[in-house]
Amino acid sequence: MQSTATPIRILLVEDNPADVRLTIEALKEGKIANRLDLAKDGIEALDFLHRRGPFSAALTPDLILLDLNLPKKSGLEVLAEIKADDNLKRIPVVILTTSKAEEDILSTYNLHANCFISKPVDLDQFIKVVKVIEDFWLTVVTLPRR
Amino acid sequence: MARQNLKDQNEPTATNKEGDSTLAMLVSDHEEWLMERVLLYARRQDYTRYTSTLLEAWRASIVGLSAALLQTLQRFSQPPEFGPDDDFTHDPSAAFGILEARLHRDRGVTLAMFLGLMKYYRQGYQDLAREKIEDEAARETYRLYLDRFFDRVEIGYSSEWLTASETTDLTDLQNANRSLTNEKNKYLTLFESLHSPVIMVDAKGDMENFNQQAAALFTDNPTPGGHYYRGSTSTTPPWPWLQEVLQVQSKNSSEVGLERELETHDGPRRFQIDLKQMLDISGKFTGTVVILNDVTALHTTQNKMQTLLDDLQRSNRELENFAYVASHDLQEPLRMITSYLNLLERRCGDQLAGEGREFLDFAVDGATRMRTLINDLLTYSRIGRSNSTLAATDLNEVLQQVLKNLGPAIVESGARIEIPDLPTLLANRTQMVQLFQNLLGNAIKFRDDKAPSVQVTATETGPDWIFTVSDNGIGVAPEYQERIFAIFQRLHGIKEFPGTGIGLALCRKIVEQHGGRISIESAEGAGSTFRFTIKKRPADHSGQQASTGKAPVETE
Repeated sequence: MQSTATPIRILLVEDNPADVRLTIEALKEGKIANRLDLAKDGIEALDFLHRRGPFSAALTPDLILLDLNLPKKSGLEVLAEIKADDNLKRIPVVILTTSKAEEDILSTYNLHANCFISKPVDLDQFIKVVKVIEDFWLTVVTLPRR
Repeated sequence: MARQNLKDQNEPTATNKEGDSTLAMLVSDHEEWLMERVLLYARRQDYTRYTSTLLEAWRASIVGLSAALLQTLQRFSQPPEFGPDDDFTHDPSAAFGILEARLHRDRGVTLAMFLGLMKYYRQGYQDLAREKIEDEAARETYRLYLDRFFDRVEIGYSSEWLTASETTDLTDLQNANRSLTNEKNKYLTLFESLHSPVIMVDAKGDMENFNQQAAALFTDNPTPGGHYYRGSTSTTPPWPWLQEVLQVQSKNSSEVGLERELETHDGPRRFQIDLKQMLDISGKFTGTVVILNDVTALHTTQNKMQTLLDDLQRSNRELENFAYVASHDLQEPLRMITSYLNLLERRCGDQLAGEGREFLDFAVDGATRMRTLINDLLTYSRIGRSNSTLAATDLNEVLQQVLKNLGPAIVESGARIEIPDLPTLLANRTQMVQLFQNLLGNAIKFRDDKAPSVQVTATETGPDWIFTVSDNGIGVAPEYQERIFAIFQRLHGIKEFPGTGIGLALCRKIVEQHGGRISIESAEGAGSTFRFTIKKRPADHSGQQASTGKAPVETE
């Protein structure tokens, strides 16, 4: 179990500011103290994880919320790199996307995504889903030590 | 002249004048006798099968023969002997033979048959002389005289026959030739007036003939009928394309049809080429008739139609794809609108009052309706995309599902729904549920103050199943009956009857996707009957038998 004293670090990879804000608002309604980092495209996400450039001081996240439809480098490419990297592959990656397409579901799991979640259209549903993600990945499961 | 009692006449010499008159009298007096005797022989030898059966005909020939004999007797007192330079032109016996020859020949009697029959005439006259003349010397003289007379008849007859047959044969030949020429001209006119090029090729593969149309298209000198007079076609080797086409024939059966584009004087044209082998009576191959039909226009039309069809299908696919992608992508910004409206309501709802509250409600309502529309559009565009999922679908189960889905509406409205035993079809199950649910749902929804009464029927016809869904609801006025099947078309206000107007458009698309048609019979205020067909597919039949074993029954 994680100590509640240490804030949980989440990396949100999402290009749409409205979606970012919505996720932040949803997380606000959650009970867990967390720290949210943001990457606006695939390149930025990988730079952050590899502490490259402006992200040299970045801290490894406990959970990654990854959108699929991203500029520069797609969510699938980011996922593939994370899961191929010995230092990063243990970090749970939750695919959070508007897609419901069968091929997206299949290819993300084939790349070892930890779970695939289709964003609900309804706000209440969305808040509920974010809470469930938080609850499950940050309190229910036991993750390896950083 | 005394004609009786020849035996009593004591005339010992038949060579004198009296003797001649004796034979003449004898013959004249025994016309009936001669006729009977000759007829007897003719019957016995079966000549009567080919001659007249009327006695008068026989009498006439005896009279004619006797008259010729009497004339001869007047001219020759002695039996008329023959010589190498005899001229029979003015010989009465020969003249009779000539006359007879013409008559008999015209009737189709042959020379041999006539000469044979004449032997029995001769024998009849000989019998008369032998039996009626007692004097042996006279009898011998008369016998010789009669022989010479009949010989002369036969010579006259034979010579006339042969001359006559020569000239007649020639005339016949000319006549036959003329009718053949006429016949040939008839067919040549036909051959030359054909709009289709026709070419005749002999057994060796050389061109024998071709018609004007072929000449005009494929030769440099299309003078009408020119090739008939130049006589050059009989050895002309076929044109390259014809050679190639004839090769196909030799590899295949007796009749070949193929299509080729050929270079002609009118530019490249497309032809349907039919090859017909000509066989003689023994089945021997004697050549080929090559018939060309210009199918350029047909071909162009077909190509155009195919292109149009392809374009239409592509455009339809693109449209469906567009509708799908657009509605899918519209969801994303809509999600933002809805979410932030909700967030606004959650977080700042308390601070809003009066107008602010009202505006927010309208915005939320609009966004909600837009979401429904987009979802409907997605459902609608998905129908064309999920065509491959046809499976044996028991419509009884489908209707159970529909009744379950419509449960609350049925209970609330107090609807009575009659459903017969339904068949199992090869169909998309989800779409069948959508189809029946929309039609039954409409039947319940569009009601006046009466409780809805809905009947479903199913009838099997040749290629289709026909279904009807009838209600006692508000009906549709004739002027709107086409419009109701268009997407997002509504006849009533949202408050009166809620909905986006997708239902019947969806129904039509589903029915068309299943190879059928949908129509409505209705009058305002008099209920509606929706009729639709579903095309039968091979698997339907067994499916139907397996389902209930009963024919579907129409409800009262």
